[in-house]
Amino acid sequence: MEAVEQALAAIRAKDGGINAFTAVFEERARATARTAKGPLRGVPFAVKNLFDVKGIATLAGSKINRDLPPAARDSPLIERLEAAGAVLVGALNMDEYAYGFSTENTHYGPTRNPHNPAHVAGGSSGGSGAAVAAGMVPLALGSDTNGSIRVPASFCGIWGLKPTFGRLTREGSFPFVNALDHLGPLAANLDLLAASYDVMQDGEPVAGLKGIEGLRIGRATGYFEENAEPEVYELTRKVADRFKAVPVEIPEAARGRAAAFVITASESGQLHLPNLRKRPQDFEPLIVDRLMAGALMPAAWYLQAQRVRRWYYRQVMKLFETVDVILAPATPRPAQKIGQEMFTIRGKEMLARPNAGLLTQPISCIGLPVICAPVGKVEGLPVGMQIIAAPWREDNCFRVARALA
Amino acid sequence: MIEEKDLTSLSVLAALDLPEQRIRAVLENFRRIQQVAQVVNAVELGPEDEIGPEWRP
Repeated sequence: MEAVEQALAAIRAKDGGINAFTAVFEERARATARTAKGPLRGVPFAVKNLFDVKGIATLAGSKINRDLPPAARDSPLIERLEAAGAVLVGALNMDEYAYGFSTENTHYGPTRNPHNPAHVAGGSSGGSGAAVAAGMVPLALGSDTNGSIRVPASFCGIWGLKPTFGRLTREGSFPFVNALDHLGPLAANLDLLAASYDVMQDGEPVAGLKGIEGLRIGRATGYFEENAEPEVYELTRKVADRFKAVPVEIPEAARGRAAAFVITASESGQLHLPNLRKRPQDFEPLIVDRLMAGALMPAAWYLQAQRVRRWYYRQVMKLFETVDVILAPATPRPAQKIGQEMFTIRGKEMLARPNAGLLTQPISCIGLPVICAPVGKVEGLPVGMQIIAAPWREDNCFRVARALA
Repeated sequence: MIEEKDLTSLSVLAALDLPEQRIRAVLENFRRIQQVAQVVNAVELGPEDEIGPEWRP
């Protein structure tokens, strides 16, 4: 009960300057806390507002979804966390329909980075990253289609897990891209990341796993080095050197990323086509043109991208015959400023908002499990490192993470 | 790269009215997708890359 009251007080005190929360459930939280029991007893948590919460409309960052009927039940992942004693205290801001990496939401305002409020918190689970980093809640749920857990975890200096595609149920969450959507936790520390994941998953527990003896660890070079600022890459290199990681190249990462980009554009455009026809003026101005363009894309491009994804997957699986875990930077740079249109990577200028996910997209494209770990700061802002394993081997991610924590 | 008139034809096929003030921005976005799709379309694939009923890792 005490932790829940502290969380509610912290939200009241801090969220005015951060804008992570779109709803706070004080009454519900107090009622749940009174009877909470289990391994997560009394741990306050919040969810990205694309998770169904009984009695309220699932906004998914949009204005349009305010017209939806209230959710009839909580998302199963909320139910699992609450069955283990955790207490839901609120819903969190995000990019509209999860299409973005910055949580600069025109309807609900931008979420600010707790390390420097002039900067973005990352996205699309930006409210989740900021709420944890600001110490308002120690645990949050987010979604990750192209990097939306890992980018905010990196920008906010916290832990994030994107499990294997298909590992955690997506029931009771508002979709973005059916072929690529994942759900997962963001947490203030590794123990809570592991404990929360364990109560949501059905596989072997990962809490308490340690020891990296026998694990073959690689450091991603090539695409992942070329698309990160030198200071950012250096932080990953330092960790990799501690683990005596060998340099490896994830084959065809650029074309894997391209396939994810095309699949995302097409599926999201098709998903929202009925509302693009009826009420385009109600969409987020930052994404409506992208959605319209995606909705007009030829099916041949989409199907080719799905084939390329399979082709890319087969090549990456060959790499996992020689290593068990791959380390790579999570974001090319630390968080850009709110409103910033362009940034540079190794002297090359590019659009800031879509390219924050340059290093995460090739990994989620083929559903690999990844932990994003905080590894240091650049220009006074945090950046994270991806700990990537073969499908269904979250245990290997946690072993390496434990050696870092 | 696609031209405005081509985009307008596609929008008619999709029954999606493009508001006048959005056409330029939608065209820019479409061209960006087209550029990336060219990278994807250039990959030479074999029968083993054909899509199954549902993708799983």
